[in-house]
Amino acid sequence: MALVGNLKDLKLASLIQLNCMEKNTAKMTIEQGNKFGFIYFESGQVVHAEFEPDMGEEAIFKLLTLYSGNFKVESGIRSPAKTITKNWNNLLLDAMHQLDDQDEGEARKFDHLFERLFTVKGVQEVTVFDDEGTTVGSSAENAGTSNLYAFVQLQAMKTGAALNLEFPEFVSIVASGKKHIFAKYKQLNLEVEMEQKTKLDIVLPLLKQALG
Amino acid sequence: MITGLLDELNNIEGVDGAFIASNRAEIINKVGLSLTDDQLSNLSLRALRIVAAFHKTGKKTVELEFYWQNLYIICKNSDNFLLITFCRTSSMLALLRITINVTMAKLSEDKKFSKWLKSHKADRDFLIRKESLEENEAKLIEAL
Amino acid sequence: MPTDNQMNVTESGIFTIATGKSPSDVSLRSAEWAIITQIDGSKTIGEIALALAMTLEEAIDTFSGLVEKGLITFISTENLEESYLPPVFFENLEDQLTKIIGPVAPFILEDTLWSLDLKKEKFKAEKLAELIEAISDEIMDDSKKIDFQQIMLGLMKELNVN
Repeated sequence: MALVGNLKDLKLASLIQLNCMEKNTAKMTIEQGNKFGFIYFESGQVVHAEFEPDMGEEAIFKLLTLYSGNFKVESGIRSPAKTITKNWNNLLLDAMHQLDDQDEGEARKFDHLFERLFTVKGVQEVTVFDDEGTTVGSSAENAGTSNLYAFVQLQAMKTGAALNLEFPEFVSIVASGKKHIFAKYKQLNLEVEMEQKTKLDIVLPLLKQALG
Repeated sequence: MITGLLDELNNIEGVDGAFIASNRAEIINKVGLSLTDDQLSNLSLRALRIVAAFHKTGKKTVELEFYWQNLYIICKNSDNFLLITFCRTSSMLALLRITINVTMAKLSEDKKFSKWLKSHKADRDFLIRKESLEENEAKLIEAL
Repeated sequence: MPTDNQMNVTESGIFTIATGKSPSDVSLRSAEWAIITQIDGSKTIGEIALALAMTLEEAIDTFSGLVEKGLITFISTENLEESYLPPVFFENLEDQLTKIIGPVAPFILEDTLWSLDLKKEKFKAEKLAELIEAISDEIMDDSKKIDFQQIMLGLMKELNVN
């Protein structure tokens, strides 16, 4: 008997994670249009993947870009090859980061990040900026500079230092009817604008998940 | 009376102290905190500078919160003072915020406190003038 | 005759993954799979339903299916009765809210309960602050908001909700 479903209901990253945590030996088949992809698990590690014309980690990376497609997981089927040696945790993280960094043009650089963040209820706008206040990505069409936001992050860093703590995980500022949430994002910074009445302690786990 | 109000906050489970700071980042009153006055003043200064920066862009800041793994600092802003509370657990944040709101209202109504604040009035924009900032901070403020 | 496992598929039931059978040995719907990922030996069916945005009925139905497949077993029932607020509390809350914001109070209360997926009949005391905060957000007038919160703090102290 096999586990069947669609990637619309259960994300591939979650499926991979579940099979690995269950320490499964299994074959996962993903059907997308006319193409088939395969991921093989052995005792809870991902050992091989195929998604024509790619194999190994590159195939995993390509499969993770799919947002829909039927899948089937068949238990006990051994892999015909071993093209992946990375631990599954690192494999997933690296693939997710590679997705974020993928250069599909500057405008789409943060699409995946924005997509994940907008699944959190109450998110209205997202801005990515550097420490100098330059906006490097925004969900808004005519985003200006982020000098104010960069100043906030600088003060946040100094707040942590004053208390012998690290950079705060999150900073929330309620001003003029909006809630602005700030966080570090890789070497950059993130500002998420939300409805004022959003409760940070409730959305934080969701934001953390979206930020990976 | 002010100490009594701060005590009420501090008595909430998970709260690790609270204090009030003036617009000059001076500590007016505090309860239950192990940090030094310098540290608290520094924290207040950072919060006040953020408020001043938002004000420069025409936005009025009502509250600021700083979150770490096991520490939540909630800063509630009034025109002439900040009320800052430290909390170790997220499960009490809703109750804490309600209590903070009520405390702010009571502080604003306290005649003695209001009188003191009037006599120690200070413009927060003073805290983001070029001379008091580091170069990178000043550059960002100038560009606002 | 229903088994112990089947009889305890109620809102307060707590289950764990059964030994001897793995979820990957059987065919699961995505709802069943989603529930499997939430089972940690401490969350009740009610809490898992909330986390997955399922109705309680749907969750109970899915849990029953998992019990039948032998994938989960019952551990215990959370004792909910003691921690529920008495119904008279909500009458009091509504009265106080009406005095502050007028006849829209019952609608605001019901809307807020609905948006938080909470019910008056089975309302845990520890959720009260969250409810009060959410109702306060619906009060536009700042001074009325503070009045309401002040009164509610008093009521919470009487109930020893802290």
